[in-house]
Formats: sequence, C-alpha cells, structure tokens
Amino acid sequence: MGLFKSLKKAFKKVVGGIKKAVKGVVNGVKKVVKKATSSKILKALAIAAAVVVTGGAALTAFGGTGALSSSAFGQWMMSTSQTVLGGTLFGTGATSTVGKFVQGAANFTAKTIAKPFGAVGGALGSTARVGANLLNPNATAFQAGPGVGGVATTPGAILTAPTPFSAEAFSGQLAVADTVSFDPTANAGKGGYINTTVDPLDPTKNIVTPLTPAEVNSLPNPYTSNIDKVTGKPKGAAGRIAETVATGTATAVLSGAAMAAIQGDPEQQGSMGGLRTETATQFDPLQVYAANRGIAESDISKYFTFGNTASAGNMPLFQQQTIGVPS
Amino acid sequence: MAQPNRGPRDIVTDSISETAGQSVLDGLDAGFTIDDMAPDNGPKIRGEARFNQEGLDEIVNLSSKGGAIPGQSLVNDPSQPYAWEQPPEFANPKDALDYMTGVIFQPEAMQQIVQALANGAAVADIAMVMLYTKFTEGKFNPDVLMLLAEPVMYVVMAIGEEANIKYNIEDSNDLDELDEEDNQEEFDKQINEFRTVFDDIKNGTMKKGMEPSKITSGAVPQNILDKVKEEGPAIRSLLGKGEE
Repeated sequence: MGLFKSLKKAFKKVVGGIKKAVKGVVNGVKKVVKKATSSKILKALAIAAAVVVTGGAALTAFGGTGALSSSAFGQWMMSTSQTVLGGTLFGTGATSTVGKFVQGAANFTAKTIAKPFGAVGGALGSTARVGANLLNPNATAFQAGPGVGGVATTPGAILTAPTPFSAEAFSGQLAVADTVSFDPTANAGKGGYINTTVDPLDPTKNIVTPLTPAEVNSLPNPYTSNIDKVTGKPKGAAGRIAETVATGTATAVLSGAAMAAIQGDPEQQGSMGGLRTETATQFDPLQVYAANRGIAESDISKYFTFGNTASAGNMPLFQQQTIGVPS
Repeated sequence: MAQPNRGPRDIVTDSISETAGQSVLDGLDAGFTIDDMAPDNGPKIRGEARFNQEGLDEIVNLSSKGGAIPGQSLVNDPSQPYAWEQPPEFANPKDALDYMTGVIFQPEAMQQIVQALANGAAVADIAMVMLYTKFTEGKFNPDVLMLLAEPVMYVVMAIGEEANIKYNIEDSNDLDELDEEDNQEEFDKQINEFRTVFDDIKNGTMKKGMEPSKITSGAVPQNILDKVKEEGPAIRSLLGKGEE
C-alpha cells in the first residue's frame, strides 16, 4: 500500500472520529437545549473548534460581519483572563501540571484561549486579517460587486465592511458605502462623488454631501475605476471576480481529488485502483506470444516458462542451478 | 442577546472535537443560548457535485501518465532527493498548524475552499489534499500531517459554516443524517404529544365512568337502533360502493 493510501486510510479514522464527536455533541447539547437543531449545534461546534484551532484568528479572518467574528460566543471564548494565555493547541506554554503533562505527552492541550494573538503570534494574525468577509444571508456565493452595496456601520461613513464574497472582501479592502455614488452633474457639471444620507431631522429628505478630495482619495481603486464617469453608474461586470480562478490551491485540490480517484478506496482490500482498470491492451504481449507459438490463448497459463527456456537448459522449475554459497 | 454570567472554563482534552464540544456545553452553561452561539444566517447553500469537464480532463490526463515503476524511487540520485525525503520545514505540529491556517486564510485559498465546498467536495477530501500537498512540498512529515488532520478539517468546516454552505464531511450529504434525526425526533415528539392527549381523554373518560356498557339507552335514537338491527351485518360502510 502506498503512502497516500495509508494516509487516506488513517484519515478515514480521523474523519470517523470527527463524525462521532459531532453526533456526540449534538446529542449532548440536545439533552440540555431541547429545541436546538443539529445544524445549529454543528455551527456552534465549528465556531468553537475554529477559535481553539486558530487561536481566535478565525474570528478576525472572516471580517467584520461574519458569524464567527460577530459571534458573542467566540468573543467570550477569547475573553477569559490572562492566566490561561498560552493554553493553546499542542500545548505551547501550558502552565498547569496537567497541561504540562499533556503537553509532554505530545497531545493537545486545548485550553480555551485567552488572548489568542498573544499565544499564536502576530504573524498569523497579519496573514489571517485579510478581511475575507464571507457571510451574508442575502448574498449568493461569490457575489461580486466592486465597492457597491456595503452598508455603512456608522451613519455617513463612506467606507465600510466589504460585502461578503466581494472583490474587496477577498483582497482585504474596505468597501464603499452604498450611499456613495458618482454624480456626473455635480461640481458644476464636471462630476464628482457624493454621499447621500437621510436627514436625521426629516427622514423623508436626503442630504447630499460632496466628498472632500481626501475622501475621494480614500475610495478604493476597484470602485473608482469601475465607475462610468458619463453615466455615474458602475460599469457592470468589469472588475468582477472570475469564479474559476485557477490558483495553485485549486489545482492542488483537483490533483488531490484525481489522485484519490486513481489510488482507489483503501478500505476496499484487493480492489483495483479507481481508474487503473486492466484493459485489453495489457494482454497484447501475451496474445502475440500465444500466436507465435500456436498456443490457444485460453491455455496460455500452461506454457508459462518463467525464464526456463531452451537456452536456459529447460531445467525443471525450482531445480535450476543457483549461485553457490560457501558453507 | 444573553450575557454570559462567567468566563470560560479551562478545558484539557486530547482532541479538538472534545474541546469544541465541551466549549459549546460550557457556553450554554455560562448563559448563552444556542442562537447566540450559532447565529441564524438564513437558508444554507447545499454543497452539491456538479459535472466539471476540466476536472475530468485532469483526472484522465493524470491517469494516462501511469504510475511509478516499483523501485523507481531507489534509482533516483541521492544528491537530489524529493522535498519529502528531506528533513521537514516544520517539525513542531504547532508551527505546522500556524503555517497551514495562514495558508488557508489566504483570500485565494479561502475562495477556492468555499467554491469546492459549494461544489460538493467533502471537508475530509479538501483537508487531505491540502495537507498531502504540503507534505509533498516538504513542509512536514506524515506524522505531523496526521496530527493536523483534525484541526484543519475543523477550520475548513468553519469556513463552510461562515459561507453558509451545507457542506459534506466525508460523503455526499452525510450531514443529512443529523437532519433526519431531527425530523425523527420531531415526529416522535408529535406522536408522544398525541398519545398524551389521547391518554388524557381516555383517562378522563374512565374517571367519569363513561364506559360503553354504561351508555344509557336513550343516548341513541330508537329509529337508528332499529335500522342497525334490521340491516345487521349487511350494513354498508359510508366509504363503500353505493347501490347501483
């Protein structure tokens, strides 16, 4: 069995353990909370696991409005006292006797995390803070939209958290609030960016405020470059994310899937590899051999010589001369 | 939103699954509701496999390349070993995990993972492929790979949850099993409610002494009783075929 197959087989055990744990937790929580659905419990479990695994980095990695980052539960897991700082995966910095023991045993010391970035280190935080804001119940997957549709969290703000799956989210940029637009007639017909907000004194009226040069400069380039200065509207599909960007990860995923298919299922002992089927062409040499000697193909097994040919002396099998070994 | 009445307790376990499970229970105990812990984000996108010609072509291309001849690796030049034949870059699983999470949280990787989950790829397959790829790049050895399997899978699951995808863990729609259990529980619950109500009515009737034998003769009009006696066993069901 090759290494990949061995790993895959071992992986299956891990997966089985996870599925078992998920079921166990679901049943355990259901005993406490009668009306909890399995999907909700699974979500809570995934959030908790992600916080533990990433040391809280997952909370910020997804941006400002995701389930993880907005999860009070996740924040609560991170908010414990400084004394448990360092109690993280694989037991780095465990201070308790039990923790040290488990750490020494090369197991997980998965105390819930206090200040995860302190424990995990800044490097992970910086790579993780890409603002990949994935979640929006009203958005479809990979909904693009360069800078449009971001809802300002602060009234009047021109920049805000990016729309999930948008170009800004994936590139870690801020989005432009949906109140900002380009007015071709503004600025004495030269055109300019404006911010239209509702009048707090009279909600039926809008307040139009031209953006200052500094504010205009702060607008992300994907947004400004996508505005048609004549119509004042976004150019449309330009600048959108292609859904099938062939990145190294995608290739790796595909290659891995292909590899898995080729290697076959390690659980099925004695089975052929997934795609390594024995075709008729693999019997061609035998057919040629049989045809040359006038042997019926169905009887070919009777004529296997295993190298015991006339030139080798036609010695009975297993009685051929071997290399002498001095006694 | 419920306010927790205390901080989280320390949990020392030997697996992420156990830790996460205990954390959830700890959170509930601290005053969170399940809705606080897992905010509802609308209906999920089901991860479903879709035919992809490009993927199929790649599989065919890979399969046509054939496999290594047994012993082929032994004839390689020892001075130019493969990446995985050299000391790994990360011997410490924690460092390796930091590296892996850093890789996973890259925007391009995240996008591809979400796309793969939405296309029905199993969490286990995605995690396995990522880890195996990094192993072949010499980042860590197979032992560390196996230690990372569980945490990486949970990170991928968290990404799936964040993207509101109903992902598969190992097989197609394997999480439907949990939904089916939910449905079965709901069904059982309703049956039990019905039985309870039925028993209540029955018990109430018995308490009042309303047994069939005690029905007073005047309860049913005499003409109907006579008709029943007259028809006897030939009496027709209301659902039976009517007279021609």
